[in-house]
Amino acid sequence: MMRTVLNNGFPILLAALVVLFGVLSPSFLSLANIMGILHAMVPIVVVASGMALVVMLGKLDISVGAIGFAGMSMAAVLIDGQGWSPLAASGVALLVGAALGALNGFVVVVLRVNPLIATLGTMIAFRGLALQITDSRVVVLPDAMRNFGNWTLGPVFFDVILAGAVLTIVHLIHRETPFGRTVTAIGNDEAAARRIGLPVGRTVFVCFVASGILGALGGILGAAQVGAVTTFLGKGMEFTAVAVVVVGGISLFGGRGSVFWGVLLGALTFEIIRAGLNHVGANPYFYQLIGGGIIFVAMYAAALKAQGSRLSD
Amino acid sequence: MTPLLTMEGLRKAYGTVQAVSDGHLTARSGEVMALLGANGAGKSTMMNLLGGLVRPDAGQISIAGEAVSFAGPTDAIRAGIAFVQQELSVFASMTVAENIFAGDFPTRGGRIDRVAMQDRARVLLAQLGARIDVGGPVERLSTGERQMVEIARALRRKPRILIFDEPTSSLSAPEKARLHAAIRDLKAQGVAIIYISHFISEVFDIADRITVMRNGATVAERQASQTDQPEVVRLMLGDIGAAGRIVADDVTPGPVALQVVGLTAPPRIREASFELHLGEILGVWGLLGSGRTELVRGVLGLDGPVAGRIALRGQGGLAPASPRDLRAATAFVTEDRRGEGLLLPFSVSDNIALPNLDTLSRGGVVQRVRVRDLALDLIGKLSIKVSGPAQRAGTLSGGNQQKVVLAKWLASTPTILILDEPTRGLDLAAKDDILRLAVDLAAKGVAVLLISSELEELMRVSHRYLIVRERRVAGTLPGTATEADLIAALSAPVAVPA
Repeated sequence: MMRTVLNNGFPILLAALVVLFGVLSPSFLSLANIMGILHAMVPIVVVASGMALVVMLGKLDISVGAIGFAGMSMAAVLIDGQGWSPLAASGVALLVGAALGALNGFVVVVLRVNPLIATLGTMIAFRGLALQITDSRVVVLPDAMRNFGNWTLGPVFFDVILAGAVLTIVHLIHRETPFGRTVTAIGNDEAAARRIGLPVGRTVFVCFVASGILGALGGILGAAQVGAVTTFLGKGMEFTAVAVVVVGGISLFGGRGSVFWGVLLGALTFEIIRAGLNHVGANPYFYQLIGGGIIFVAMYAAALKAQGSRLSD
Repeated sequence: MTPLLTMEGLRKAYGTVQAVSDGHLTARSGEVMALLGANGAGKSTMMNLLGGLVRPDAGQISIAGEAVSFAGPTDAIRAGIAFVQQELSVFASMTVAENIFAGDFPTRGGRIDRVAMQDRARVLLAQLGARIDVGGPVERLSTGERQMVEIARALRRKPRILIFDEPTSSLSAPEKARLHAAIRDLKAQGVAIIYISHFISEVFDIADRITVMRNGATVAERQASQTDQPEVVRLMLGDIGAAGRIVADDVTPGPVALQVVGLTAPPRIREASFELHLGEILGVWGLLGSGRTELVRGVLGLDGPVAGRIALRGQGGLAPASPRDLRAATAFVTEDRRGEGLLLPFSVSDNIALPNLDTLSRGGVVQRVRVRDLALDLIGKLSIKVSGPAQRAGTLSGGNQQKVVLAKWLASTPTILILDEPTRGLDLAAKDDILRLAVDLAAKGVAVLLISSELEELMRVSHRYLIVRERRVAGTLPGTATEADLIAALSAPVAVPA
């Protein structure tokens, strides 16, 4: 009984929240509002998909927000100053993401720096790089890009479909391929993975590159939604992404959890609470307090669950 | 027939410790070769060399007559060597089949072919006679079942040479029988098997040939049919003369410092009664797994509550003592220097001062001068080789690190000193220093309890022996006991009452 509640805690909590906000403000459950919630989730779902892979390894990448900002800054300058097409410039942004991710991977795998420290350093450096590229200016993107970011197919925003596809692909890679299973093995016991000859270094490196690419994609999609690159782009995104995967039940120690359900439920939790509080006219600062509370509750539930499984051994 | 594997003249040192000084062995297809030796004999290092986990300083490994050199475990795997290590390498949250195929998943169009993988996993496990759900996570399995998963993984690679390091230490009797049946099957298929075990009777069940190592060197090779258990034990332990003794046989022990009556905490300790006197060194003699460490940990109440009576000498004579009282009166030194709280980045004097900060500080402020004086005093007394009290503990040799641990405890002037394998991993000179320290302390009236797997070491310093067998105290022997008496005591009933 206790186990059932713990294992399904978040779906139950989510459903309760939806009902609560629906009662407090009936328009919360309108189709337009639900679509709006999904739309707002797009950047974080993409970034958290990459983060999920890294966390599955038992590591962290807190430079993803800065990578999104750096990649998109490069794209914005190319579009604004050089007249590149948004599509080609976005391709460059993804390449920047891959390159910066590779740098993270190099520092973690080859120089053996603790991932948290390594990406804390690169987070600051990448953000500095981005500010250099844009000269700390706000760059307004062309209408074509903003239209893309807010393009709808029927009631559904196109970028929601894109984010869903990204999340599903990452999930399938994690679940169904030798690479994905190696990620889980490393997250379970990195020393054992080395002992039996799994390609630990290569796998970790690839995960950081993937995290960089998805960080950049998150930056592109986020900027396209608002139609501009500001110095706030991607700020705090890395911590929200970590919170999303943890709340979604992916263990920070690695090796446990589902990418698809973890990211989806984690992102839904945060966005529903944000949108719901907004909808009922709560003080916006209140949201941060609640957000912190949710992370605490999720971690406590995970600790209880770990205790429960030990007791049943 | 030329052997499939030959290892010749291997040498490997870790720092100043010569783990293997002259290692030789051969393994043949279709044969089980048992590698035996006491703790620290160099068996694990030999297997780590063969498994590509460490590289030799000198010597040659040849497979099927060709010299090989392994840069890492992957090279050894490619050469057809599979290593079932004592330390399990399983991934708890992954399925049994995934664990078996980690590193070589069968795929179909980029996706793991789960059907094929699970079918093959079932076949491998069936070979071992293990009935395990291949789709379930490994974390639901018992330790024995996890070991089967690990062995199945080794078999998956179709090895030519298969190493088992203590494969049965966590297996139940039926599991062990199944493993042995599987090993016989593999042997029939022409695999060369290297089998390491502490259980000598088990080795005679399964092995065709026996290689014995002692102190880093291969000392003998015998056909199993042409030797017996006593000879093998003698080869493992070597010739031990009483000549090396550094204590007198006829010490008059002081009054009883610690009295233990009917100590019981199944399954760790079944029944233990003994007395430890002030001024004596009581050597605890038993095989690995007999419950030596569990016994002393049980006395100190380190593993949870125990039944039985424990009395400790205080000002008014022997009085019942709580585990807390006992721990306050006892210094407990083990082979695990870091686990004992030696902080490697800290200086020698800080390490010595840490557990004694209360007595070294005034008004909440640590008195640096007193710390320095205490450190200098103990460095001198224990002849710790340092440039000064400020030298970092991590830069010392193992023997000197162990002395710092001792110094740490001695600063609080304990009545009882428990040494649990205090010299493991140390070189000969350092071993000697530590033993002499124990003798000096006993001469000053400290009651010393010494656990050692090395009979030679035990025979050099023990005033009396406490025989531990199958989790019980089986009796005591006087310091004049011979090597033969002590070896006999491991299997026969001990005549002398406790």
